[in-house]
Amino acid sequence: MERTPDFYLRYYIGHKGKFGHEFLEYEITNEGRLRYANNSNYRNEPLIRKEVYINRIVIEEIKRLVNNSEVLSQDDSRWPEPNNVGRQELEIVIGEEHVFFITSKIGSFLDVQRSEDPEGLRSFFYLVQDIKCLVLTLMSMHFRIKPV
Amino acid sequence: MSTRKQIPMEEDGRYAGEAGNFVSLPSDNTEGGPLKSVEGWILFVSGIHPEAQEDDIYEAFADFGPIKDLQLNFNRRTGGSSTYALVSYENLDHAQAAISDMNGRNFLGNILNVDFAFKKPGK
Repeated sequence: MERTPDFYLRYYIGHKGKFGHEFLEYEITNEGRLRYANNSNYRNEPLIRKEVYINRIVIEEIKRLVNNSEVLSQDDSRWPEPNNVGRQELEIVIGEEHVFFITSKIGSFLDVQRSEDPEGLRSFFYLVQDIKCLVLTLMSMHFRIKPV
Repeated sequence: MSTRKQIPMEEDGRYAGEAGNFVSLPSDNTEGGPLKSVEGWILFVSGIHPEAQEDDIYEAFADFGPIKDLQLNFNRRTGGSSTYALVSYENLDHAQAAISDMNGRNFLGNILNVDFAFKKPGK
């Protein structure tokens, strides 16, 4: 029997400030469990914790986005350090490959261009946006929630 | 790999207590198979040509029944359309007919993959 390659993806963006620990995070496991968390304490917004199982077809598309982004061959050693404005974490497992990136929040594309590793950071920046867009579309269509 | 320190998920307490309760939509106790969303049955369509427009997808999928919602995103990296779309039907039979007919079909020169986006846990 052919073994399904392992897959795992987790993304976190957040900071700790006057509204407490505010963050957005999602995690997708090989079994298709998609968990989405959004803590915005601003104006007592409720915590959002949603879970749904996605089919293999969606995971295959995420793997395609990851592979096309070439993020798996990047190295975060010259990316901005996380700071009190915030941090981002991206962890991906695809088969034998395992990457884990940590950097600061990236405000705009200019931050990417001015960084020490524009090529690598651009790959990360676009991939994060493309996957976030896919995840928010899945969550908002399934639960009929308005993404923040 | 990062040489920086990770904050372990369990240790910073962001999923402690109530914050660790993830909400799902109800499903029956059977394992696997498609899962119904709040407003119907959602299909995931991949292999879409980057120049495809929402209209093209709408026309192709409206043949199977009334479409409740359709979402085609942009790909930030390429600047074109995303190579996937989500299409939803209120009626399960319509969704199933769309999968049987459109999965593997040539659409604007690309081969489409079509299946339910969500499944019940297990399997």
